[in-house]
Amino acid sequence: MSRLIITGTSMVSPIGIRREDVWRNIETGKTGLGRLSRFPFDKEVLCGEIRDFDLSDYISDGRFRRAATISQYALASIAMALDEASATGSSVNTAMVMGITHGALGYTQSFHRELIREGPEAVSPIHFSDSVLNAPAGNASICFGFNGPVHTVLGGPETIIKSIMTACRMVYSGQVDRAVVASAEELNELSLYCYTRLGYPAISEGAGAIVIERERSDTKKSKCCLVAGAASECNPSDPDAALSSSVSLCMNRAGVQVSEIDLVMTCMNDPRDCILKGVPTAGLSPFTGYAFATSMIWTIAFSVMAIRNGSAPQTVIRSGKISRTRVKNVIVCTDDRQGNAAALLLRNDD
Amino acid sequence: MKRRVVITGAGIVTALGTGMETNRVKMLAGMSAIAEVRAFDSSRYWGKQGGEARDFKEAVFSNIDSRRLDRASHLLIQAAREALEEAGIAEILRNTPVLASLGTTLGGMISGELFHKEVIEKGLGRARISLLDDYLAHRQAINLFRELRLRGDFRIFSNACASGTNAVGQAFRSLQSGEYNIAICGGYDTMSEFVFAGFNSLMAVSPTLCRPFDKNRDGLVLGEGAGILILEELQHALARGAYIIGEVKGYGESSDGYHMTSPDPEGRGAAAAIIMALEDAGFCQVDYINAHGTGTPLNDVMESRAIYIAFGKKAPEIPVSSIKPMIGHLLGAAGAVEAIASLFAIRGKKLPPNINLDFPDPYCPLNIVAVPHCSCNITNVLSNSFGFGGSNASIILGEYI
Repeated sequence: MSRLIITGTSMVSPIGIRREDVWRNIETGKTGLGRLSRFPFDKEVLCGEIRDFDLSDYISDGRFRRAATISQYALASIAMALDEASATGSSVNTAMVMGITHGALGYTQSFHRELIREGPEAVSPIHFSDSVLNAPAGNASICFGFNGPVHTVLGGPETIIKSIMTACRMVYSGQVDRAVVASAEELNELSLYCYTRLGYPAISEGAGAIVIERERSDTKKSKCCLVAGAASECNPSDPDAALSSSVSLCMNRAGVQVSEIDLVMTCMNDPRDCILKGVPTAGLSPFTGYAFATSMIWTIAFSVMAIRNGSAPQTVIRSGKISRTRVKNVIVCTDDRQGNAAALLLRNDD
Repeated sequence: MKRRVVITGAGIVTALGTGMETNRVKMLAGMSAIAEVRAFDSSRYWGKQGGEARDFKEAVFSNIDSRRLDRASHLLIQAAREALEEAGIAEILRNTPVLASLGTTLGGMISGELFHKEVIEKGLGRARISLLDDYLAHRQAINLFRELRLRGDFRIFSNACASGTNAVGQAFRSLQSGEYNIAICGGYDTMSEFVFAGFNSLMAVSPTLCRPFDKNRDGLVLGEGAGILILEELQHALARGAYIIGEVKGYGESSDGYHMTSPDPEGRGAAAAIIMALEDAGFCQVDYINAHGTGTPLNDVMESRAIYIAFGKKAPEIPVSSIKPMIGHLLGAAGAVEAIASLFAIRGKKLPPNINLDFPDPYCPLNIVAVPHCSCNITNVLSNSFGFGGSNASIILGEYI
């Protein structure tokens, strides 16, 4: 029975855009957070912006120059992930699953502001068509010529693991040759204001992507990161049970015991008192800030890098100490404390 | 071996009314619920018509505070309750995990509009953030879980006008593969001025009537509502003695990779989705096609071509109709509501008519059913949905035999 592996990863993040830069910056303890410069804001806030970004560095196709920022980030990250995966041949039988939380808030706000202030005659159809929630995924399918299923799955960080589960089913069943799972988020004045008022930590923006394929006999083992198991659960009546159940089911599917897990990666909250107690935990938020679903794709992309390198930088460790000399099993989990939880187990199996 | 998946319940809210029986009677009779939109001042728009669910009374909740809920949550929970009641499965779900697979293009957009209006009128500091409690689309799924005390998981698909069919199709796949035994699936969307203005700005709406496959067609009309199906794995349904109202036989999905707002004019992507659904269903005979049929010049020619690519010489024989002239285009709910209309056809042996068809377009040479039509031979129905960004989805529903 063939296995599913991650062959390409990418991060367009405040801490870096190229994989090597991300790793080096995190390893040296550099943070991607800084004072907001994108738009005027009524107070000084710390956030994670993407600076010096030019889509033409990643995509030569000029049709997307006016696309919403979120779409531009998504396109750049997908291009880099496909490049790393050396995704040769036709992209016709490629699926795309985009997990997002907010969509193109900038264009949405512009369109609605024009509508309210100036009336229906003044609105821009481009702002409308690029503000629909599936615009980043649609633009990606057009840009890269994906003819397989193209989905946009909505939600918080857990939606990325759900997107991976959807993508894995499509690849595993043979419906498609490969699947790209991506996420993107853009900073926006309204959302920044609301989340700051609600007490969220530094909000950020960017994108990330991974490429999932079946393992082949010619797959380079050094590039291999196995998708060993995944699970998600919604149980608002018992959030603790949702987390425990997701983690247990994920490990069960992967055939892994707690004692075999080297690292727990999370994108915001540390896992509560669940069966993973005692396993070292790590997270990227001090470096990247919080970008909702996109934080989860960064966490997963970074976990893949850690598995390939066989180690994780000490700077990301929040608690505990990695005991084994080589990081082999990493569980990525998320829990919104309202009953939405998900877990993904990644493994180096060479 | 793939598991068989059957339908044991359905619930619906459209401009024609709330509930299965009202919608069944009116759809099969060819009644239109399209009128000038009243939810906001539509007089400023080129196309003023829409299918508002005006008789829909907001649901009463037991386990969540309804004051801060968007209309989207009300529509969704109303349709889900009706579907669960028909399936007689509410008690079982207290102890059994369920998958909620839902499609929406807007989520709680009406709440978002209200918040943004307050920001513009009063300033950021005085706008009520509580208006956004139900703005994000996954909040409606969480509300569903809270109100009905469910556990399991949810997926929210937002693939423009294909969302509802994608949601049903993905639930079908989950049950086929053994991931779940029960799914609550479908879609919902509200009448939002943001979207109304957006489709008007694209010149995609009709200033008069929605006339799919008519040579004088000039655009779509928007609608609102929800459609929910309860899917069950066959043995699970049989073991509890459920009444089976239909079977999901096949599903296909693809992407054009062509243009953000225009379909591939040759219909290749749409045809790929139809062919995949046919293959999945074992190339069963299709007795009726519930078309996407938006009434836009581009869609209807493209869909006709796709049907010809998929069915070849049989294409002009298969009865085809679109229910959008009666209830409007329900965006994320369209595919789910149209799947329910397909069930009406299978169970009632009667086809919902494609009203407003006066002059059939020679570029759409299909067997369009323009008036209510009885037929004894409706066993399998294909329902198509195509959306912005080139999303294509087709599903085949059949009589349970």
